[in-house]
Amino acid sequence: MVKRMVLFFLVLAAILTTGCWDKIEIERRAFIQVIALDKIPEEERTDQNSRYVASFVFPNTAMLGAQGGEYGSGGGGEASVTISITGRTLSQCAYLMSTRLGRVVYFNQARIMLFGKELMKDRQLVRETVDKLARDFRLNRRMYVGVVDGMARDVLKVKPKVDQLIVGYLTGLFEDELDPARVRTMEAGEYLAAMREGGDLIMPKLTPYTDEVKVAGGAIIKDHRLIGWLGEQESVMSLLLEDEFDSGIFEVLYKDALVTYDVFDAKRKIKYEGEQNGWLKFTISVDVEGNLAEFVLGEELFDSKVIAHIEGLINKKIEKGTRDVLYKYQCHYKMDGIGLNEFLFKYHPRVWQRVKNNWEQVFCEALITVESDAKIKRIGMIK
Amino acid sequence: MLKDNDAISENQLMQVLILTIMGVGVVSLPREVAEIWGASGWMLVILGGLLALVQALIITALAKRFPDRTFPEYSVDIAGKFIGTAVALLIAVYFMLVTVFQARIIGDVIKLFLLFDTPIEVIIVTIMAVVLYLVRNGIEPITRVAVIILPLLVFGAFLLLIPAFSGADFSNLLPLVPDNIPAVFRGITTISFSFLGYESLLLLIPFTAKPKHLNKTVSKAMVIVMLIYLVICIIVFIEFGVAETKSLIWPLFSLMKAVEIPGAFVERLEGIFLSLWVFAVFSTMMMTYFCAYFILGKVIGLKQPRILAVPLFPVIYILAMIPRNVVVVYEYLGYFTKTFGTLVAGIIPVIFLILAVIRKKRDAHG
Repeated sequence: MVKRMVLFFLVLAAILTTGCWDKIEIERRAFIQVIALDKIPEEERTDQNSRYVASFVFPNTAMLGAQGGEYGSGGGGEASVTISITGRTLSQCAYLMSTRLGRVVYFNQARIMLFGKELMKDRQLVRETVDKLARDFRLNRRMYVGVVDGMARDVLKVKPKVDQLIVGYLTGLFEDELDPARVRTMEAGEYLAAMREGGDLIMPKLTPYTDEVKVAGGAIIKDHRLIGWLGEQESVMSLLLEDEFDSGIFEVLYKDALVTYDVFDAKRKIKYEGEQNGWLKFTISVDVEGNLAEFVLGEELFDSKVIAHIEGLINKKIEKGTRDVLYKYQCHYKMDGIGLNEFLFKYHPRVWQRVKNNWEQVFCEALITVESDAKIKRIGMIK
Repeated sequence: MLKDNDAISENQLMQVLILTIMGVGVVSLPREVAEIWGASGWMLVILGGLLALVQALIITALAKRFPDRTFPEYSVDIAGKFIGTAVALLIAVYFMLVTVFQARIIGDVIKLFLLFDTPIEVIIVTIMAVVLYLVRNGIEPITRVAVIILPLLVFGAFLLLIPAFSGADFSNLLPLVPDNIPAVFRGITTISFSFLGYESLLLLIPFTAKPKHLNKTVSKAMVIVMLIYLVICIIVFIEFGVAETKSLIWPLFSLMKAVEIPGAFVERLEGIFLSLWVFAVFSTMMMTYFCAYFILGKVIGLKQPRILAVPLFPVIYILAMIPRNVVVVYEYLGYFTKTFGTLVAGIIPVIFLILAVIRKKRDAHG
């Protein structure tokens, strides 16, 4: 009897404890690192219904195994593999990718997601991608997003000069600690939130070349659609107004030579000043702190009057630059790129309730003054 | 009439109460407050918590009049044989359905986030089997487990939530004026449902040995839960903003996906967080499961209600498998809390307390 019971429990244990529905061996997974999405170009459209080209980059784990873990040494294929798939929906692209590779596609490690220009111009496709990105639990909210001037997949063809893997190169470009002078960064989480809150936002712009990728400028998205670009300088000025500016350099002309001002901290404050003739009045003060980095031999800067003068020149430069980009937002694109709507909603909810229904017009007519206060803190090791 | 080993201390009562309240609701709470009150919704947690506290104190006042008897035993005295039995039966069904919802939601969430290919039936049965194993021996093992789980849960959860503060935008908590003032009243009652679980006091208090400061203990538990809820809502709001929070079914899990520990190799903490959350739901299920079979047993008149624990298992399992999808589950849950929740946690205790006072029903050494 006891023997039978023991046997019974052994069989029971064997049935209940073996096997696992969710077991996947690690080498059966394809760890996607970069996702690039494009609208399918007309000439490549073979199937009437396909709309997307999705390109995925993942490390060649099979090669790693063959080389005994030595990363990329010896022959036997590239260190990372790029695959492009066309499909009707993003889910179909991912599914096809999985079946063609014969591997389980694993998106959790994706670091970068890029969108092509044509895709971003199509409001419907943008809204679909946003939904997919938010709905699919496999996609992580910490990956960097950006808009490519051209086809997004072209970025993946770039052979970086130093880095072996495109993902390392791109992540390095975006990463905060690398002094992103004019680099705008955006994480998927911020992107989703901005898209959810009305779809007006400025995204990082990427331009691919043969051996490098330039991350500079901004893509202007209005009502979930790409409507224009910000130049490099405009993007920097816009970053100041958005309170997203971390560090960077400005040059001003003083005594026929360029003075370089190296900014390490910038703060923005918005003040609502009431109404004037039915137009809302705002004052935006930009406080910038930095060091003087470069001037010319034979000139001295060790004089508070000179410093004050240079500060004035920097202020003028910032005020002019921000005015230009504001003009572009207010008159050209009619799009609130600096977050005044968010400011009103949070700090002046009553005003916001009144103007929210025709915010576009109210924003375009608003009187916005920018006051810059640049402080030169240090001037280096010589006078 | 209670067995010696079926007694818990006031401190244990507090811990069990906290764990019973925190269950599946906590992961969707930030969305609910955002839906009702927008950016100022986090303040709703305080107001809803206060309403729940008042209701919990009413239940305590009722239970204190009959310190040695459980609800199904004295409800007959208060409201007469028929109504007393019917109400007790209703409460037993209520607790059973709460267990059903907990089981189903935890199954859905684990399947979505962790075990994609494992059948939901297996997930639910395994969790419920552990619950059953625990609850069939009465209140004391339950409290012992609760005392182990609570510190683990609170410290673990807060360790995971701290990194969420980095890079978060506190201005997302503004404006302080709710955009829809008339929604206040409706909002408070809705959010007080997130604190449901305190109705288990009907059963817990008679098991408490020599209670001296019951009101204080209950208030303490409710305030602790309120603070935990408040911190969770604030963290979710500062990370996502209102519009995004409204769109997330389980904002707390999305938060865990978004958090990364700076400089650490560990990424994507939702797996760890989910396992902590399983503890929270588990501890709610053990209490509601216990309440369900105990009250049912007392209504039927069993000396040992525990023999009902096993027969309830298939009933709960089958009911949990009925809803077609996660949307339906949440629709049912909303409807269920609105009707049954109000009845069991709000209306019934008030009526019974009034009846008991009018008819001067109270046990000798109360």
